[in-house]
Amino acid sequence: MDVNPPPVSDDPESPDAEELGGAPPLDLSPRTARHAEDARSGRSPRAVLAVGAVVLVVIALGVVLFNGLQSASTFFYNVDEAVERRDDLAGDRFRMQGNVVPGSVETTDDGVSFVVRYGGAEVPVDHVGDPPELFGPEIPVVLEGQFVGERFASDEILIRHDNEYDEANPERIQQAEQDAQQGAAG
Amino acid sequence: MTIDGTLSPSGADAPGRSTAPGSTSSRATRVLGWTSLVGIAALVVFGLWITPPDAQLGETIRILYMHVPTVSAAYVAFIITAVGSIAYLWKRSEFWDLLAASSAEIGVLFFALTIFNGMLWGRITWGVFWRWEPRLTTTTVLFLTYLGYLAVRRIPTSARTRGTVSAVIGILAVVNIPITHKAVDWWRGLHQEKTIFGTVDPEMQGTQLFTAYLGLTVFLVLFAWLLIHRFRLAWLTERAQERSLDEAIAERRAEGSAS
Repeated sequence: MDVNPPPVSDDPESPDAEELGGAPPLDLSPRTARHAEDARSGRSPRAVLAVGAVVLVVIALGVVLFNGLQSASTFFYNVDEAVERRDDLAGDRFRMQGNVVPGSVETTDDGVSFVVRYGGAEVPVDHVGDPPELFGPEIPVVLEGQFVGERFASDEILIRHDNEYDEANPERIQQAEQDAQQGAAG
Repeated sequence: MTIDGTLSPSGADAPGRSTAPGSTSSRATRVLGWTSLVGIAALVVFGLWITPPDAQLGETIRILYMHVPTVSAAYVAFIITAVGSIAYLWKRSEFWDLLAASSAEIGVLFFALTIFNGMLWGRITWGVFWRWEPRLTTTTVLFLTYLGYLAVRRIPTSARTRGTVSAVIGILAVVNIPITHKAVDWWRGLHQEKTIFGTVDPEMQGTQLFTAYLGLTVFLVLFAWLLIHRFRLAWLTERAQERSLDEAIAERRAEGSAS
């Protein structure tokens, strides 16, 4: 058994297949037994499917990379940059990032109007639609829309949340410090 | 069964072993399984009840206790895939090939979960499910790359070709992890910056931070449990395929001697 194991892992079509001593002569003609048929009918569509899936993934990657790189590098302009490029951006749809100026938020017939500020520049905004839940004064927002004259017409407000998390605890020291600062300033 | 002997990951699988284990579980996996079950229960209690809501985000922050752990487990999984791929090209052993493949599969699962719970978070916080901003774009590329890795492994070919091709992909794909991870620092986007990793001083405190670390631990244990099971399943699948090949050859041989 150990000296001359049956060549179970050997390919029957390999050149040395017939040289194996002791093994009965094999009928190497194609056959129509179920194993052969399974292999033929099963392999081809599976291969086509797999190659198709790979091609799809490659195409999807290309589309995503193209779209992504085009827009991701300038996902938004800050307010001051947008004001600087106002002439270039005229008529273009783009994203503008800034902080909502406290006290400027007013509800209008079809949405809300407010002023955003960033880097020393301010732009008044007319937004159509309901603002998101977290919208409010001092909140950093990314607006989608375009310049209409001096004003920015927005139809989507994205809230830009930073990576700071605070437990909603009314007694926390931080709040007390903020209050103290405001008291000192006012 | 000479194949068994040379490809076996340890000496335990002796050549000629005909009785394959009927289960992929062992004492180690049972311990890991129970640990993750208890851990998940604790995470639910901490994440949903004990931690206070966030000052700005409110209840939404609870999604982060799962979002950060699932993406961390996915990154670990993809790094294991890369290590397994390198080791396969070096050692050419079935063990490393199957480990890389198993890890990639579970990584894709956790990554899909991350994208899903991240989209829920985005809808509530940003106001939209999706924007093609840098972190989300690189994330999509990463996800598609590993889907491609798994698809390539399904192409019928010899085990060696499959192992080689997928190992090359497994090594190339991991390059995107640092890009994805640093995307929030390198480009402007919507996604907030890193919450725990890469920050010397984490931007969380108290029970929030504890719950985040608890979630991380729990999901890593869960990942280890799934990985061991998946690897053993892959190993058994290979043995079953070998056996059916052996049987087919034996049958063929019987036909040949009969005629």
